Amino acid sequence: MSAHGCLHLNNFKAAKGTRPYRLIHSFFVACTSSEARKRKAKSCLCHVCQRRGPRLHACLHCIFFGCYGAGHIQAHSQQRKHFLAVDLTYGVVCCFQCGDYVYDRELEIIAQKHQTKASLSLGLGQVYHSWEPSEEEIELLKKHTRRKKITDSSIIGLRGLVNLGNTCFMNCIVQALLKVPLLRDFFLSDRHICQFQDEPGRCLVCEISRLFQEFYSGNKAPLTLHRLLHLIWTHARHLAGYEQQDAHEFFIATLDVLHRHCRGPNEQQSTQPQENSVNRCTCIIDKIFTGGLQSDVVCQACHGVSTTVDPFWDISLDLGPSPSTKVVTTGSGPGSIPTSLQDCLERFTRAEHLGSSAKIKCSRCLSYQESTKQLTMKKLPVVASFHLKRFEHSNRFHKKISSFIAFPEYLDMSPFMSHRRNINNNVNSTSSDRPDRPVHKPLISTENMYSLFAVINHVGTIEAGHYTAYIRQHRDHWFKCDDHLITKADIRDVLQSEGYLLFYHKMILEYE
Amino acid sequence: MADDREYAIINQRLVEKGDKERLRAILREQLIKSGWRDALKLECRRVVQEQGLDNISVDEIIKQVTPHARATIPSDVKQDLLNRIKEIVQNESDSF
Repeated sequence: MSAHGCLHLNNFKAAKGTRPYRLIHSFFVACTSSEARKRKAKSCLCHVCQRRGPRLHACLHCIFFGCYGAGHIQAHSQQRKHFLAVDLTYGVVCCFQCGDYVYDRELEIIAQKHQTKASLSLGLGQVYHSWEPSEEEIELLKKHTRRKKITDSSIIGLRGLVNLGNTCFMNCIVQALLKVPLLRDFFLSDRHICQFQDEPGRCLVCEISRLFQEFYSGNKAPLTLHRLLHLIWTHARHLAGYEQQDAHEFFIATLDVLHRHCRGPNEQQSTQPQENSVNRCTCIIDKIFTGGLQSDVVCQACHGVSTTVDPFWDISLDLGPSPSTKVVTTGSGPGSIPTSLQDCLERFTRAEHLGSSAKIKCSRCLSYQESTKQLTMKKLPVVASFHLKRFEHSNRFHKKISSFIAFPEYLDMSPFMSHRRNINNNVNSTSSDRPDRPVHKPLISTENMYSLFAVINHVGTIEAGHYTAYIRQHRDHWFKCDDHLITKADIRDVLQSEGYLLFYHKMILEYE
Repeated sequence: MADDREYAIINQRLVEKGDKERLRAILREQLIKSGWRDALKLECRRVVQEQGLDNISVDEIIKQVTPHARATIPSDVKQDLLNRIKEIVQNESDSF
């Protein structure tokens, strides 16, 4: 394939423009309408052998389809001296004078447009196009010829963190955050635009960006996070001081500060209410960590449902025996102790009776009534963070719950989605979710699958303890990060560990 | 077994309804996830390097990599695709 375009194709375009290609492409390669799909279905046959291929091509000069596999398009080209043909599977142009497929920037752009349109018309979402360097980037690449190659055994991206005196809560969260692929891509591609240009050293996002550079620099010496710690002290005052802190609290505070510092002037001004989307903010933190939690409050008198959706960054899960209030859904009965993450989530999304002491004014029957409340997942975040509430605080005592909670390497969130959970409860939903025409089942069944990529553990008691993190590197290599020490770990160790904070990453991402 | 005519009808329906594109999208994704595409890319690169950029054509690459590429498609991916097609055909024939 010549990289410099093709003289013959250029001459053809000069004579006839791009219209022939455009037509062929939009009807027979990437169908942009259902009309086009019908045509494609009927007429994509070799005019010689009446087969669908292999490798059916359309002549760019006249109306002729021929397969490449049996040489019919080549024969046509020879006979008629029509030397250009479009491959109908991929939309690339073959020049029989050059004897190969040829590149053409102009046609590629047309093809990309059609593909996007075709994909959207089928509800497949935006097509992903791989990154292509811009002029400027090509210059940079030429100037810097050294390349870092990531091999399976590479340990790039791993760095120990010095404990500055009770700062393991920070170290373990940083280890987990630095292993979020989307965050890594964001920072390593230098996408952050700082809003504190006049005050260097004030922006937490810049500090995280610097940490990514440090982690991926290849330097193996442990890092000291004094600047990060100082920034957190400045921006989240409740965490200031040398005492032990809760890793979960630190995590949430960090996300909050990052989110505040990410918001550029553009985002702050866009105050248009968007009813459909859960999160209005489009900063990288919200794009990755924010999900939507639906809360349905059902009045027990009139069965009116009032629904609200709130954004969340993490899900805190109770581990103790469930309170003795009666629950509506049957399942593992009330009072049972969860033994797995799925148990916890099941309980979290179960309808809960609010009790007679907490009557709520129903918006439908306008009276104060007893009601049930159910939380479900309306929108799943890219990174799902689960907080197992191992620390119990009450007026009388503080204690740590060390019971074993099993958590899987791969987690399916489908059972906890709003539409799934609510169907179980709605009695008269027979008409609405059973349409007469069989709608295509969603072909992608793995859309709500998550994989574990970081686990934070707390060892010791509630008064004195230590945090460590297990993190995943290159798909399935696990490492244990204990401040400055990083050791290889096995997935079995990870799954057997106690677990305090669990981080899961969505396996399939939708492109926006 | 389906004969040529049935085969053609099924294909026509799949294209018409857009299912073929959907299946292609899923297949593409599964092949990427399994590492098949990356491995094939490396293989293609090896062939290009071996022959030299000036002496290579798409036809030549296809000829050299196809047997290996076909043989290395994970069997669960094939099975999954087959199941999906069966399901669609089943639903289609029910609605007649």
